[in-house]
Amino acid sequence: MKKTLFLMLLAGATSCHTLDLNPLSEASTGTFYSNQTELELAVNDLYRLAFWGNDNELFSDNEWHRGQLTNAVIGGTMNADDAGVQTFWLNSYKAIARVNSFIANKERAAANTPAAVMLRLEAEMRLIRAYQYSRLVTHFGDVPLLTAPVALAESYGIARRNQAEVLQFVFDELDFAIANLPVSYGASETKRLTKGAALAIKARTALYTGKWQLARDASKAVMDLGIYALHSSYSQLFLKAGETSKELIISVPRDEKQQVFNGAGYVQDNISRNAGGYGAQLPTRDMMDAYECTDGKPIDESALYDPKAPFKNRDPRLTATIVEFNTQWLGYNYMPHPDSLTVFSSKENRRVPNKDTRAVAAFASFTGLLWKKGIDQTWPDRLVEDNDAIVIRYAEMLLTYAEAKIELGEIDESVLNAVNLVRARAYGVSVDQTAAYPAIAVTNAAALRKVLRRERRVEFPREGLRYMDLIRWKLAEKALSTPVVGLPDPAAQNRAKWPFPGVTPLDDDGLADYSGFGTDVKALSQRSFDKSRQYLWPIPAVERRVNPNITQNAGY
Amino acid sequence: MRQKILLGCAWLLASMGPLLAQVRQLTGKVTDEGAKDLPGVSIVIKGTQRGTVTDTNGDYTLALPDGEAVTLTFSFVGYQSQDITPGSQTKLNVTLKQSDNALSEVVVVGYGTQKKKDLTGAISSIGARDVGGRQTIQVSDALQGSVAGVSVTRSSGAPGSGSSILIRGITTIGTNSPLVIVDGVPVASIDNVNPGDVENITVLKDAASAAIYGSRGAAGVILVTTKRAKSGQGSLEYTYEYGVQRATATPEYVGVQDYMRYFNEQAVNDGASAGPFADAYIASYLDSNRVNPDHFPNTDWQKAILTRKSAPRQRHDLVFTMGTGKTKTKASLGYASSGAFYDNRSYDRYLFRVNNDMQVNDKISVNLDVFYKRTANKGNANELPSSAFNPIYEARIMPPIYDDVYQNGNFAVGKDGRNPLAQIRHGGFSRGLYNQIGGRMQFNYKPVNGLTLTALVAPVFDFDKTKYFSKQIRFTNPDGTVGTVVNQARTVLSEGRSEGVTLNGQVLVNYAREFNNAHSIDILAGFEENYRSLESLGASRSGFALTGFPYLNSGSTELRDNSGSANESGLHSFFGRLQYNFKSKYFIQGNLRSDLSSRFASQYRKAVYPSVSAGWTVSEEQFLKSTRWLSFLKLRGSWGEAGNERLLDKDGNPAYYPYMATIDFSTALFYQNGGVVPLTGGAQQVYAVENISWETSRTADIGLDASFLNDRLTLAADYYKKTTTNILLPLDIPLYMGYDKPNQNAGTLNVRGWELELGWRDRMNKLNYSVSANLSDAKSTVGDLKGTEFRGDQIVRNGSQYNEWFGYISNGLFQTVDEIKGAPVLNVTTKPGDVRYVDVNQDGKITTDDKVLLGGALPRYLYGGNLRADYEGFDVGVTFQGVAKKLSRLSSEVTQPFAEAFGNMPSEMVGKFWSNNNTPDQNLRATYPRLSRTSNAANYALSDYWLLSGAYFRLKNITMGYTLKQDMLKKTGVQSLRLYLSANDVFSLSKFPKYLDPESGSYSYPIVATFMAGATIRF
Repeated sequence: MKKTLFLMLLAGATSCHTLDLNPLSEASTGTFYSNQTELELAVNDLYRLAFWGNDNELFSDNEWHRGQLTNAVIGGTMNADDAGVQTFWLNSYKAIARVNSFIANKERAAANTPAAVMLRLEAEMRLIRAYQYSRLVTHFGDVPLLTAPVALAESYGIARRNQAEVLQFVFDELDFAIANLPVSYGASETKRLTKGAALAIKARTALYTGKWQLARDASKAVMDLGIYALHSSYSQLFLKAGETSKELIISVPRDEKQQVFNGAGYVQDNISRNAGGYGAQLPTRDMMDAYECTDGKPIDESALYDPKAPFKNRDPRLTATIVEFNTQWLGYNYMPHPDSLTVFSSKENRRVPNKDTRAVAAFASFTGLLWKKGIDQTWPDRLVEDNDAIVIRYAEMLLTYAEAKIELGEIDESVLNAVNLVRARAYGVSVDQTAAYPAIAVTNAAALRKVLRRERRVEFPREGLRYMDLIRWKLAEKALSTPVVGLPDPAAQNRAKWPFPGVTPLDDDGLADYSGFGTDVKALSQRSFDKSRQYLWPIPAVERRVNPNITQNAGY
Repeated sequence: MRQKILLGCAWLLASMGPLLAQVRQLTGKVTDEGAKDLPGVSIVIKGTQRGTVTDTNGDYTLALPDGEAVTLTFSFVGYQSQDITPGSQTKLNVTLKQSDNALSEVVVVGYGTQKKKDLTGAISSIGARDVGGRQTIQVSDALQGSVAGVSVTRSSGAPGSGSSILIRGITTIGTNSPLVIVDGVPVASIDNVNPGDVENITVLKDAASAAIYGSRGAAGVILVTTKRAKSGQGSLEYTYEYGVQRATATPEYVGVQDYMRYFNEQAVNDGASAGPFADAYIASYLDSNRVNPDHFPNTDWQKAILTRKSAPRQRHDLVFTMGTGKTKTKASLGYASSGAFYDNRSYDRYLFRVNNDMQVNDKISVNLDVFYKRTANKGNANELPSSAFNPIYEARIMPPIYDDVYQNGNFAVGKDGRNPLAQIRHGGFSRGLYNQIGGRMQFNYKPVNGLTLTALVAPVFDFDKTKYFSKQIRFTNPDGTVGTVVNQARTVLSEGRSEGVTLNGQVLVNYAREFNNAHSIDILAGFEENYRSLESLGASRSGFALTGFPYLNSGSTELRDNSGSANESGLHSFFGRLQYNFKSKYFIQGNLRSDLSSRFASQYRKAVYPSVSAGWTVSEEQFLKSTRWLSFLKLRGSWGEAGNERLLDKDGNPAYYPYMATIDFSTALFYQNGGVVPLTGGAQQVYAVENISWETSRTADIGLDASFLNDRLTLAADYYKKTTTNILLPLDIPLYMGYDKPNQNAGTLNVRGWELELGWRDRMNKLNYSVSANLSDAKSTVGDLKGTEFRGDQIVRNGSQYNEWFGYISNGLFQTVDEIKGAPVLNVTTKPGDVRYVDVNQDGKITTDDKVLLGGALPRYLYGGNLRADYEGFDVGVTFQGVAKKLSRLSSEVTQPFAEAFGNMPSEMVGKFWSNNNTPDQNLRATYPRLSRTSNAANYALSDYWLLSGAYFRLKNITMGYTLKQDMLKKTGVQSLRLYLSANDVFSLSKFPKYLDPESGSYSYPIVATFMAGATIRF
C-alpha cells in the first residue's frame, strides 16, 4: 500500500511543467511582418524621437550651459569612447537594421495587404533609412553601408564605404520615396512621411555635402509642391499653436499625456529664476550680436545700434528668441541689471526680489540673456516641456534653395525672393512690402553669401542647425575657439557701460570679437574646438575592436 | 503536479498507524562526566525508530522487547554517542562524554549528509554560534570572514542592507552569487532566514561537491539548515536586543567663507575673469549672517539632514521548542527593525518559521515546515528603490551657502528649490512591502534497512507591493508669499504589485549499506523539478490637485500610466551519487547530474555534469595509527564540472528567453484629426543567437584535513584551479548590426586559489576556549572573450583580472607652463596643476589608447577568525576579518570639489591641492590637482593617481555574556537567563583617509558600528 503510494507520488512529481516556455509579454520574430498591421507596427516604431533630430545646440556658438560648462565638441575632448557619439551611431544603425529587416521580409504580408499600402510603407521605410545614412555621412564621413539584413558572421568582414557611394545610395533611395509617397494625408489619416519630407531630406543632405544642383532642385521641388508656407508668426511657430503649421515638413510629436516630454530639469535650466528656473542654459552674447538692426545692417555697421539699448531697432527675431530686458517674462519683469534688486511681477501683482540679477542670485544668467523662442507660460506652470521636435521646416528649404543657387553662381530674382520671404515673415509682413522690412537686393555673390549665412543663424537658433553650418562652412575652428563671454560680476559692472560696453566688432564670417573689451566683459569659459580632427566625429571604438577592417578618422 | 503531491502527503498524514506493544521495562539515569543530570538525551533501540528521552532529572524509562538482545544508542547534542547492549538488568545508568572531535560531526551536503571525516570534496561548515552569535540582522553579514574561500562584501550600512557573497572568487562574467539552499530547497536570498534559526551553514566550494547541483552550482552552493526540535527538548525562549548604530567615518567639508574662496579660485582657473563671490562679500559674510541669516545662510547640511548621531536597531525573537518521541516542533517568530540617521528611513522584518517532524511509524516519517517572511523597506520619496534621492549624498554635497530653514521656520528654497531637508519632511515617501510564504513537505519512507525513499514538495509564493509617492513642494518666501520655486516638479504616485511562484519538487532514493564491516556504499538517485513564474503590474498617476491622498484615484485621469509584464522558467534535473569507502580508509565518490533548462532552445537544452573525488585517510593506516600527536590525516582530491544557467539581459536583469528573438513593443506619436494619437510600434531589439547553451566551470581541487594533539588542533587546506568556459556573454557585435548585444557562448575565465583553516580547541578546568582562523586567496584571470571588452574604469578583457582597474598611468602634477609645452596631454585645456599622464604608446598625445591595466579591484588574501571562551556562566567571543590586498579608488566625496558644479569642498583637500596661490615648493608637495571644473574629467579620470591599497583589518564582533545559574531561577520556572553585551565593526585599520571607511561605497549610507545589549530568557 505505502509503496504504491510512493510510486504515485513519484509519478506525480515527474509529470511536470513543460520546458518549452515562450515569452509571456512580448511577441516572437519568427512570424512577424505577416500582415498589414505588423508591417505598420514595424514602420511606426521608427517614427519615434530616438531616430530623428538635429544636432545639440550646445555644440555651437549659439548656446552655453552654465552647469555643464563644456562638452566634447566645444571643449575639444571628443574621443572614440564618447558615449554620445556611440548612441548617435547605434541609433542610426538600429533604424537601418529595422528597415533592412522589413524590406527583406515584407513579402510575408503580400497576400493580405493592398499593394498600394505595401508600396507606401516601403517608401516610408526607405526614406527613414536614407535619412539615417544622411546623418551618418555628414558626421562620420565614410561609413559601413548595409542595405539588407546581414548575418552576424558576415558582419565582421564589413568595411567603411566611401562617402560618395553612400551618398549616391541616399539620393537613389530618396528618389524612390519621392516617387512613391503621397504629397499629403487627409485629416482623418495619421500624418506620416510625405513626398515633401523626402525632398526636404534630399535638399538638406545635398546642401550639407555641397551637391548644389541636387540641393537646388530638391528644395525647388518642395517649393513647387505648393502645400508648404511660412507660418505667419515667427514666435508662434515654436509654441503649441504652431505644431500643425503648414511650415512644418517633418516634426515629431511630443506630448506629456503620452509620456513623451522633458521634465523639470530641462525646463528649469531654460527659464528665468524669478519664474522658478535656474537660467542655466543660455543664449551666448555671440548669438545676440548676430542679429541685424532694422536697417538690415549688422550691429557694427548700423547707426541704429546702441549697446546701451541693444534690443532696440533690431531684427524682430531677436526679441522673439531672446528675452528683452525690462519686459514681462513668465510673469516677472526681466531685468538682470545689478541694481535692480526688486522687480514687478505681473503674476503676483507686486514687487518681488529680483532673482534674475546676479546681485541677488549669484547664479542668475551669466550672460544676462535667456531664451524666449519656443518657451511660454506653460513651462513654469507645468514644469514640463512637450513641444514637438521640429526636424525640417519650410524656411530651411527657402534658404537652402538660395544658398545652393548662390554657390552655383545662379543669382537671380528667385534667390532674393527666397531670402526675402523668410525676412519678411520675421517682420510679420508680406514679401512685397519691402518698405516694412530690410529686403535684400544685393546680387554680389560674396555679399549674398554673408547675408545668407547670417540669415540661417538668426532664423534657426535652438533648432540644432548651427553645428552642421559651422562644420560645413569650416567656421567651427574659429567660432568654437574663443571664450564664452558674459556680463561682469555685479561689483565689477561699470554701470555706465550697462549692459554692453560698446559695439562688438564682427568679422567677415559674422563672428564676434570680444577681446577688446577687457574687464567690461567676463570670460566664462574657454572653447577649444580641435580643428585637426573634429570636422569628423570618431568611429566608436567598439567597432574597431570587433572588426579591424573598420578604419578610424584622422586624429582619434 | 503540486496538487498530486499535496494530496499524496495529506493522505499519508491521515494514515499514521499505531505501533506494537512491548514487554520489559528498563529505567536509569543519564549524567555527564561531572555527574550533572542530562535531560533530553535520546535513547533509541538501534535499527528501529523506537525510543525515549530523559526527563528534566535525566531519568528515563524504556520498554524493551522481551527475550531479544537489543542495542541502545544514547545520544545528545555536544556529547559522544554511546551504544550499550543491556543484559537482563532493569536499571542502567549511563555517563556521556562531551564530544570534542569536530571530525565526528555530521555535515549537510547536497541532497544528504555525510560525516565530516568522510568528506572528499572541499566543504566548510559553520554552526549556530558563528551565525546567530555574530549579532547581525542579515545572515549574509555573519558570513563575513567566517569561511575560507568565501568573500563577503558590503558597501553600505543602510537599514536592511545585506552583503554580496562570492565563493572562490569570480566564476563568470554575469551572475556570480552562489546558489542558496535552505533545508534542501533553493531560495532567492540567504537573508530571508532569521540568523537565530540557523543550525548550521555548509559551503560547497569545489565542483565535486557542487556538481550535484549541476547547472546552478558553478558559483558554489551554500546550504543552510534551520534548527529543528530534538527529542526531549521543551522550552520557550525569548530574546530581546537593543542596539545603536554609529557611522564609522564621516566626510567633512570646508566652512562657508573658504567654500566661496575656493569656488572663486576654480572659476578663475577655468577661464573666468573673476569668481562669483566678491572679496568684500566673503570677508563680511559671517557678520552679514549674524544680521540676516536668511540672505546670508551658513548651513551645516550634514547636521541638518542627519538628525540622529546614532540610529536604533532592535530585535525580538520568540522560540518554542517541543520534542517528544513522535512529534517534534520548533517554532520561531522573529522581529527585527533598524532605523537610519535621518528621518523616514527604516527597515522592519518579521520572520516566522515552524519546523515539524513527525514519526508516523517505523518506516515512515514526515517533515512539515512552514515559513513566512515580511519585510518593509521605507524611505523618502525617490529614495527607494532607485536612490534617485539619496539623503547622504545631499547632506554631503550641499554647500553652506544655501539655506535650509528660514528664521520664520519655513523651509528655504535651498539651492534653486533643491532643499533636501524639505524633501525629507514634505516630499512624500517610498515603501516596499515584501511578503513571502512558503512551505516544505517531505515524506520519508524506509521500506527496508538502508533504503530511504524521499519525496519533497516546496512551494514558495511572493507577494510584493510597492508604493512610491513624490510630492511637489512649493516654498514660501521669507516675506510669507508663496514662491515660484518648487522642489520635485510633479506630484507622482506609482504603485506596483507582483506575484511570484516558485515550486520545487524532488524525489530521492538513497541506499546505504555496510558489507562485512569493510565496504560501505551509499547510492543516491533523484529527480528534481524547479519552476518559477512572475507577473507584475504597475500603475501611476500624476497631476494631483491635493497632495495629501496618496491613492491613484486622486490623481489626474489624463496623466496616468500603467504597465505589466510576466515571465516563467523551468528546470528539470536527474542526478545520482555513488559513494564507496573501504574501512573508512579509502574513499571514492562520483556524481552525475543532468539538467534541462527552459532558458535554452530545446535541442541545446540538456547538460550533463560529472564529478569524481577520492580520499585517503592516512591516519587509519597501520604505520600512523600509533602516532600520538597525529589524531587524523586525510588527503583528498577532486575534479568536477558545474554550470551556470542564470543569464542576464543587456540591462542586467535575468534573461529567461535569451535564445529567442522577440519583438518589443513601443509607442510612436502621430497627428490625426488635429490631435496627437499614440500608435504601437514593434521591433526586434536584441540580436538572438539560438544555439547558445550552458557555461561550464571545471574545478580541480586537492586538499587535506588533519587534526593533531588529540583533536585539539585542526587544519584544513585546499588548492584549486577553476576554469569556466563557454561563458555566456553579451558579446560585442558591431554596432552597425543595429541590434543590442546578444548572449553568446564565448568567454573563458580562470581562477586559481587556496584556502587554509586552522582551529584550536581545548579545556582548562572549567575554562573552555577555542581559536580559529582562516586565510584564502582567489585570483581570477580573464581568458579569451572573442575580442569583447567590458570597458570603463574597470575592465574585463583577455588577460586582465576580472574588473581590473583600467586607466592612465600618472606622473605627478604639471608644475609649470613650460612642462606642458610639447608634452603629451589629454586635451588642449591642460594647465599647470593638472595631472600629468604617461604617454604609454608614445604617439605624442594622451588618448584612450594609453590606458593600461592598473591592478585588481577584487579583494585578495581574505582572512578571518574568532576567539571564544567560556568559564562557568561567562562567555566571551571575538571575531575579526580583513583583506590583505586590494586596490581601491578614492571616493570622490573626499577628493573632488564642487560636485555638480556647486557642491561642497572636502576638508581633506585643504592645503593639499595645487594652486596658483601656493609657493612652488607647496605645489611640489600637492597631492590633489588644481581646482577646475573643465579639467575635472581629465584629472579625475581613472588613473593610478587615485588608487590606493584597500587592505584593511576589522574587528567584526565582540560579545560578552553571562548566563545565570539554573538553581537560582528554577523556582520561578525559568530554565536560564543570559545577559549579553555585543559590538560590531567597532575598530578597523586601513590606509584610507580618516573620513572614509575602507568598505564604504561612494556617497553611500555609512558603514555602521553597532553596540548592542540583549537578554535571553528561557522557560
